[in-house]
Amino acid sequence: MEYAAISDKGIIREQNEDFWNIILDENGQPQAFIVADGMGGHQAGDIASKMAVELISNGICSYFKKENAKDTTEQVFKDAINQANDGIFQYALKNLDGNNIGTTLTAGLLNKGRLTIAHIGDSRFYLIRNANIEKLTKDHSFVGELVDKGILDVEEAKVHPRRNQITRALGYEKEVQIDFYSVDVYSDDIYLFCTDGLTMKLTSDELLSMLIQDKDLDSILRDMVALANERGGEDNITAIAVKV
Amino acid sequence: MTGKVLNNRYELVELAGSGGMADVYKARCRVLKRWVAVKILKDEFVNDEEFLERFEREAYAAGSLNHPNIVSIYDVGREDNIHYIVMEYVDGITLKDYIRRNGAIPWEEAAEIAISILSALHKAHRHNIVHRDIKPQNILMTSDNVPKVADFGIARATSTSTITMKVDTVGSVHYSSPEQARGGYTDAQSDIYSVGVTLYEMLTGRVPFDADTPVSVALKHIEEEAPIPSDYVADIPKAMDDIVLRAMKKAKTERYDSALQMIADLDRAKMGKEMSNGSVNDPFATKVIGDLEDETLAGKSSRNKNKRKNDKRKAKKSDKPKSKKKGFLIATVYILLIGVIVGGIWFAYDKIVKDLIGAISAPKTEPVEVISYIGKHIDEAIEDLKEKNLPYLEPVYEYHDTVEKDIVISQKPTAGISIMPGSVAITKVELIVSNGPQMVTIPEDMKFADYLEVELYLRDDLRLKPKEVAEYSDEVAEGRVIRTQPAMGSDVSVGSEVIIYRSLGPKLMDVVVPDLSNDTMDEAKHKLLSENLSIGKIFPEDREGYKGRIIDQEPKAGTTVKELTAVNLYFGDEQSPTGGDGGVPGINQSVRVTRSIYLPVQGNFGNKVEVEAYYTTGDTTEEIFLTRIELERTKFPYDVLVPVTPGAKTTLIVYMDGQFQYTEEVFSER
Repeated sequence: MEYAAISDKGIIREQNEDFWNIILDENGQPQAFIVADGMGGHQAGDIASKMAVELISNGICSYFKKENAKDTTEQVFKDAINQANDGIFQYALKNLDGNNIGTTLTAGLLNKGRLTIAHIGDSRFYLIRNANIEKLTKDHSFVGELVDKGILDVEEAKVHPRRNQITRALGYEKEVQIDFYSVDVYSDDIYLFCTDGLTMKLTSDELLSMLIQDKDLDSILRDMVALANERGGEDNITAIAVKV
Repeated sequence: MTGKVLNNRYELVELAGSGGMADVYKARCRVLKRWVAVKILKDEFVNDEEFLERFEREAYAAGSLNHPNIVSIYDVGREDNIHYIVMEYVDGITLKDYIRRNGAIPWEEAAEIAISILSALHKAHRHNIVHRDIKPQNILMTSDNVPKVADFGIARATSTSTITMKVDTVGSVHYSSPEQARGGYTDAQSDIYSVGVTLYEMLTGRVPFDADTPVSVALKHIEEEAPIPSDYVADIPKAMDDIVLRAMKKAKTERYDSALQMIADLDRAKMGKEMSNGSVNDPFATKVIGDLEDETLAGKSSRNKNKRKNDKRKAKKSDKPKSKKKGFLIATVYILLIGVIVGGIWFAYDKIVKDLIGAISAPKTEPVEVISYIGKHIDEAIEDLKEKNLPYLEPVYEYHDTVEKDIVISQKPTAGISIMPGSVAITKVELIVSNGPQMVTIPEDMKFADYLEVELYLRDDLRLKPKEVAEYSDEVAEGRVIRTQPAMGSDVSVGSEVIIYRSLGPKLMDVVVPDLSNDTMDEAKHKLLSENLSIGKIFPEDREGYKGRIIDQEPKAGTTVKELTAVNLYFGDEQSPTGGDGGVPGINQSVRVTRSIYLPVQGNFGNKVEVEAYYTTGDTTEEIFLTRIELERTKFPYDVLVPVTPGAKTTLIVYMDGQFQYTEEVFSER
């Protein structure tokens, strides 16, 4: 399995509030993928995303260390994410005078030939199979929901004044609702986890044509970031690509 | 932030409120000795230059609006990373709180408040400023119940931000027009829609569309019809229902064309005149509005032309049935009165006053047009006002950087507006007069002082215009002040330019960087010092003694640089340990592998064990700190995440109670 990741702060922002992680198993094979785009201010914008990545990574790892692990992948995921939600929420309560912070989360967990996706917010997961690209996750954002309802089209959503407003965030409230998706892993599948810094700038057709090039994933991701920056680079850009 | 003084002028006294984008403080202005409200932009926005530029530009534009129902903007500024707007301090509550406290507001009062908001919007729209975020939370009610609209133009600035944020659940979306929900083109009529919603809430105590999520609320604005206000509160007259529903039409073209048009309908409703069949086709309403719009758009220059047109129209009007004309007169007088009460919009009607006032029995006096006094001497202005029997307030004197003493700087009402003279006067002329420039002294003791401090002091404390000129100086160190022009100790007027000469230090000669390759540390040092260059950073860092030979240097040999430039040296066995997960992760960093730390069976440990873990990466032997934790015996095996760089060997090193225990290879290659 080939994999690569990239995170770039863009050309406008001074700080990168996106975080990511790839967890490898004992054999050095990737087991889980996480991207998170934080929100919550100059001092705190990166806290929630960083905490989310760390807490969820730890949660997943310690589960697989346990003997007799019987829970479903989804349950493992859910527990890890709920713990992260609680950790972030309590942190803000204690240390930030109740100023809420939160983060998007798009994560994938490989287990027994299936990839389970957990998703909150407006980062995205794309499945590329048979030269087709499919956005599996629904954007939990003001514009995303209007697109789903058929009120806006994708291009209108990109310039809408509320395009930066998400309707769900990890760690923002006491409880969080998580969307789960699951796909069977086939050889030659390509998976893309990314934050909106990428998808605000590149269309899904562009993502597809770049990802199916005969090039290594590292250079493909680098090209994608360069293109997003060329088109303004106003936001942080983070992506993980995996090729089975 | 409380207690802080911004630009040595605005002393933040207490936090008065907090919104999605800014915090608002009650503050004291030390210069004008008055209360002000200081709106400070939240941290998350201060790194976005495009946003800041727009924020300031919109604030300046809104600052040009002077109206009794608009919260005045006094100043826009920044200090370090604090960006702020200084506004009129309003001692009162928001209209939202007012509705919360009182529930549904009697419809007559609601109409009055709506008229005030609309008159503020009329002024703004005339200046091509659209508010875009009219809602009761943005309307302040003074202690005398005068509504004041705040935050003009700010909504537009926010639309450029890419900062991810949680959608607001209680705010603007309840008041946004369908076109705003769609992200489409917004204009003055989007504000009219929001006024319609605000009026709806005043009348009924509830918003027309409510739902669990902001998206569902937005959808309702796009798709659903609101229940009629009088369904909730029975004594709301049909005329008010009609006004609200027309303002809230989904299609812009079906709404009121302008704020003035809606004011006129509200006035009629207050007089108890129901709108017959939708005021769009009401000959009366359209007629009046047509006249007003002409006047409003025509401006001063075409005033005479308009007068002729009006004369013609007057002739036409007399052909119409008498009853209609009478209604017209009463309405006009009523509009006039309302206009005077809300202030600021009345000038739009003054042409009608001129045409019709004679027809009403009461005052015989004609209104008099106010001329421009700006640039005139105050004595001359007063003489003219006396001659015309126009009432005026005691002139207010203010320091002015460029206008000479005793010359009028500004006036209210502006030229071209007509007001009533003598005993029937309602409005008084206000004149602001220059007191000449304020004088300050450039301090004597600024030579050798830090340039930036001096610049800030001259700019912010003395309010001068500092200009920087750089010079070489053998006497004054780099970055410090050599002298000023005018000289230190001179008296100068506030706002005048002062040149500060900043030292560049002694003039440095150009030298060529020598070739240091294969040199030892001592040889390199000797070569650099003899060229008057300095030694910069030495790589790899943190090693004791540099025994090897130099393989690279920065700047390269042969480069021309200034004397004293630092040259970085790179020694032979250079290594590049990869950083962990700190900073911005680059490609292929930050992949982590879990490893369990075991308690060695043969060890002799107590109930609690202090564990320290380090790792090495690549071929280096440098141990990078990973974690330190005190663990009970039962907590073993304990999991740690080890950062690995694909392609590089990573080894975990474990210490317990300060003693080395074991190493474990974590990762060899991908």
